[in-house]
Amino acid sequence: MTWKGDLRRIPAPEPSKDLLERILASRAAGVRVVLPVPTRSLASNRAVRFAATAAILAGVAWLGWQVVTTRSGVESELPPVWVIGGMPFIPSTAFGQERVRPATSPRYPLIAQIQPTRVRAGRWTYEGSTTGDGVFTTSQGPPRTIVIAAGNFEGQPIWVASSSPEMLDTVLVDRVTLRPLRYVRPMRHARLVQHFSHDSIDELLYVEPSPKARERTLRGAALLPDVGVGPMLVSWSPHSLEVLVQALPLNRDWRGSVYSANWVTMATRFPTFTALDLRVTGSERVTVPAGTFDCWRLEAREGDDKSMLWVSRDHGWLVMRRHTSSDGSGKWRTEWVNETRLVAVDTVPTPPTP
Amino acid sequence: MSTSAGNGSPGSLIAEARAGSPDALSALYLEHGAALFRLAYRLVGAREDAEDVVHDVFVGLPEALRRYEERGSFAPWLKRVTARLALMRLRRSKRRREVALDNAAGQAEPPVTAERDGLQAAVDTLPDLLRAVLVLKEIEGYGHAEIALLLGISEGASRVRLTRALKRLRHELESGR
Repeated sequence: MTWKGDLRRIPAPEPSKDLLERILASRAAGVRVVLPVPTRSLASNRAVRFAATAAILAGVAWLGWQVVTTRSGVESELPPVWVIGGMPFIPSTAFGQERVRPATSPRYPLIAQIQPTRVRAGRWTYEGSTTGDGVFTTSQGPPRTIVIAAGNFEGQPIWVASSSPEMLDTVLVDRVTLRPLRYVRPMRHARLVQHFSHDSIDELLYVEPSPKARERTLRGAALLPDVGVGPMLVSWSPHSLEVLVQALPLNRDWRGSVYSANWVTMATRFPTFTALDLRVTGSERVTVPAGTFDCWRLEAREGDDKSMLWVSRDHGWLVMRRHTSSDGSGKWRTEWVNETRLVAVDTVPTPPTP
Repeated sequence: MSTSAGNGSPGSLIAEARAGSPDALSALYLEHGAALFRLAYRLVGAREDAEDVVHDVFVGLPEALRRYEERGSFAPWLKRVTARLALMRLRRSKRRREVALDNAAGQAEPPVTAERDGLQAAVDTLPDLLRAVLVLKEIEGYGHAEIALLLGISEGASRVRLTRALKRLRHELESGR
């Protein structure tokens, strides 16, 4: 068949002469693109599948053993079957090799182009208020300060983002890809630690002993839905979004989606992964206690949940956020509007992005 | 374009590109850019889109090289990255049949014989999913296992799509004669 051989000889055009210049100009301007790098060869892929199958079989055998035996002491080595307080089945590391389908599919293309050099270290202080039915307004307590600082984690340059004065949780974010590497959330009687690799999330939830229950360390794992492509958020951490918006190349037509990772060990209460869909809907001048800013107005949707974000056009800072929700049903229904506004900013010199 | 990147050996070029050297990046572009552009062009079907793909590949290359394990040779690795990016672009947006604006700007499309022109036209009529398998298998020489990985489908589906693509291509060519 001659045409089959001719297929390889079909000529293709040459790239434009200025393409290299455009590439170098983009690099010089700080544009970065996260590429879908192949990380596994075919052979190793088969080996991983074989190992995963073996691990799943071992996990099932172990779970069966757990069902018929009663254990005491700390469950730090192996995953439990059921947990107290109505918590659901905990997916073990072996089960974590199964890809979890995100609760919501991205509406827009996953964000691939970011400008990580735009991210600045500093402190951003926000005040918040809640308004019910447009009538009564309550303060959301003392102002909350988000701190972003440059650091190193396992030899990798990172952003450390946390909130004060509570310092409730901390997220470590890769400075080039803006993907989370580690998330730590201390709680009253528990502590959550999530470790992110390029394609999976590993979770430890340590529950303190109580008068009625012994201490537990629960493990969970899941494959990430995007396998290391583009930035990613941590659902429980507002800081990761704070870092990301600074690096988005926003314009009037910009739109993009990003996956957000939730708790793996609470998979049946909260979906492990959801897609946050961001879309520029216009530009506005906004006045908040920190000053007046020309902003892009972004619609942020996560499933049925919708917020509006105002992002400074010059700096990429999150200037204001408004979330509308309602409760009640039938005769009585209350509309709640939560608003957070930028009160003060204090950026510090930022080391160059690697 | 001359380059002062390293001693010119592939290993040192990659190391310097990984460190962000523009000279090394330029040298890698001069070595691989045209081939990658042809691959991207055959997958996405439009010059503008193919240039965007190659642009993104080289803009993201220094960071991506940190995950390059140097087990296999560099060129196939770079081709796989380009193919993945092109396929992602293809999935994201419906393929746009762009008017060849470049022709107006003096960058003529390559000359083709009438026979090959007909073949190209027949390839262009294929749906994206079938064309991607055809291009990767028959033009780029990938195996079905690797195509399955690139497209996120099973090896069986890759074989079926190739069979369908060839069948449709044969039909197009015969009906065009």
